[in-house]
Amino acid sequence: MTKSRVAITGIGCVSALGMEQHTIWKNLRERIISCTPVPDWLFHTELPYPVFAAPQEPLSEAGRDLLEDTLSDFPTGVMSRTLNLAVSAVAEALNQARIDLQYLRRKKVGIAMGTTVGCTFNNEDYYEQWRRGMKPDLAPIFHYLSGNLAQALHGILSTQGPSAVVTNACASGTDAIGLAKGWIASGACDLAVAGGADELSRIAYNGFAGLQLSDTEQCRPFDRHRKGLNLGEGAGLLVLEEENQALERGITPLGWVRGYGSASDAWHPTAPHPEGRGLKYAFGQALADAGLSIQDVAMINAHGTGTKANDLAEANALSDLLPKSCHVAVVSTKGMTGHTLGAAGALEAINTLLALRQGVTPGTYGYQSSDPQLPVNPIPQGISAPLPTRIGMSQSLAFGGGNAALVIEARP
Amino acid sequence: MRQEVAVTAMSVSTNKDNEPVPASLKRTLRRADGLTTQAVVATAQALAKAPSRELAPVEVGIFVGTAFGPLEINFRFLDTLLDDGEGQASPTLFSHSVHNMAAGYISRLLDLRGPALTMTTFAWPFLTALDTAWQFMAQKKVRRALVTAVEAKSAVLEDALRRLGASDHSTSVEEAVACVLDPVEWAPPGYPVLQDLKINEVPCAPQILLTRKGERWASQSSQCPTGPLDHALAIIKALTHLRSKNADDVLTSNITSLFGDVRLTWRTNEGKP
Repeated sequence: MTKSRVAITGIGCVSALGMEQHTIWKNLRERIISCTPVPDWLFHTELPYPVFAAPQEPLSEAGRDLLEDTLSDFPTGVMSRTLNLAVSAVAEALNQARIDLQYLRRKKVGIAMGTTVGCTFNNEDYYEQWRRGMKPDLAPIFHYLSGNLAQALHGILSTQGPSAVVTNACASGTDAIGLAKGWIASGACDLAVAGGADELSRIAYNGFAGLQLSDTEQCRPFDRHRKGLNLGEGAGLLVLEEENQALERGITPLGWVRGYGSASDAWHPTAPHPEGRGLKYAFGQALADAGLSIQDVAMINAHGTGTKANDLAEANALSDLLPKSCHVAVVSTKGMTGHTLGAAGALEAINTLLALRQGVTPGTYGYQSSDPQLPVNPIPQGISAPLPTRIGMSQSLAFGGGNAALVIEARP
Repeated sequence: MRQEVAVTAMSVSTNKDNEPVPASLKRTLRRADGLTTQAVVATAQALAKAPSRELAPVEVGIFVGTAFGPLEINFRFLDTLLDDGEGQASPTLFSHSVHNMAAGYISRLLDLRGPALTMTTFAWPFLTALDTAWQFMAQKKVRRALVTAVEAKSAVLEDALRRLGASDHSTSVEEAVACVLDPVEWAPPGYPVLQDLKINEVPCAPQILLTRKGERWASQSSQCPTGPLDHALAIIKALTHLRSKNADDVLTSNITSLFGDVRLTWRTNEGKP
């Protein structure tokens, strides 16, 4: 049996840019950003690194409606901020795909989520009491055990089907979407909810500070004066289904996940291979999976964190991958969302789809002066690039040497 | 039914037996925690036992499953943050607290450059990683898959288990188990050939995911132990016993538990073990 293409029929996103896709696209275009000192309602810090925080209330109206409608036994009162962000994105994506709970529960639903902070026991109060020999109430342990994102979403939605939490550090969201694409293509499930979610945490914030990878100012991906990243938070989710199924439901796809590739640097625990060895292979795999060539690609949403090492490795890889005659618009959106870790790959895949659908991509916020050491220059801040085709790529690099890439096609 | 895949090698590495770290890996593992070390050693051992194949580094994928990941490294990082204050926390501990660090070390030390995915789930991390590896093989994304499950000992979880009255269920062993998946034509005689895997997780009280109360393993194979499972890695250790007296018998092995059930269908490759 020939399978039809893997269609994207709904997207949902939450980040510092806003609580839903239309606001996010508007703010991306108009460069309305929210990069601030760490809000006290998140955690207190004396460190000087700004962040991109999502709204204080992470649960959108659509998310609240979804929780009310599900009537599940899931203990919604103890949901983590990461899970609340994910629920908001799921609600938006399901609404756009015109999928209600009754339909969803009749289907075999795969849920693939990428995360980093969202899979870790980060309750400082519990740990501090425990190490002082006290016996803290076990509730935080139970919340942690209830918090596996994919299982929690299955529990909330009362759905059944494949479940995976991909913890590939900063490439998690990209790999989760690639994994779900495989589920749909192989018939492992009827539809999939795939993406990533992560909240800002004091532990990760201090970790990146300790690694001296954070910028005290707003991050400047690929810029000559870049000094590091800013952390962010958010969630991005895609509803994926076989194209024929979507058409039978009367749904016109927003686009398609055409290709996915993943590869390792086999190089260093935290630094990328300087020539982007793994990235180049993942990129080629994704194109081969899509049955396309680089000439078909109009834009690349780079990982572009703003750290010296990442941007150099990525530019070196892209320099090898992009023929000189090929004018592909390279951008990074982390100057407007921060680095949202496990959510980054998913949010960036969505930003790529939004740009492809409009036929134009905003430039790279924070990139104003070219770095002579980088062989590839992205579209600068303040410039919008028209996109001649509706095909783009979104790529992620990660601690541990992971690399992943997606080929996304938009329906105009 | 899926495309068959063969388990061509398996290995267990545990700190309980003071498993020696091979000299060739010692230097590079000097900063690695026990979880990463056990994962690398188990995977290297499994790979050494696997049939010799001429494969490019990008053709081999790494699939790691874990329930709790480097939880204790996370706590040690937290210790530095709580004791030494902001700006003084250990960057090395932080970088090693990410869940995919073991996969990264395996990739680097064994020079494997295909996909490296880490799957985190409390129910059946090894089987989830196996399921993903199987998919990648079926889709021709890799020609060989290394599937590794690893758990670290955790004093915090041990204490929680004691307080839940389940101290006989242990998280105190730092342990990794690895297997190699190859296409069926590479299966040595007597080795299991996997035919299908169905994992069905269901919601349960959270403490069950820690105590694993009620989880049982049963197999049609007379050589495979049956009974309760008390550790996230117990399932793969049970799988290492998969053998059938009669080659090509199609057998099933099942896990039942309060957090779902699993059905694995398999046969033994032709020839005597």
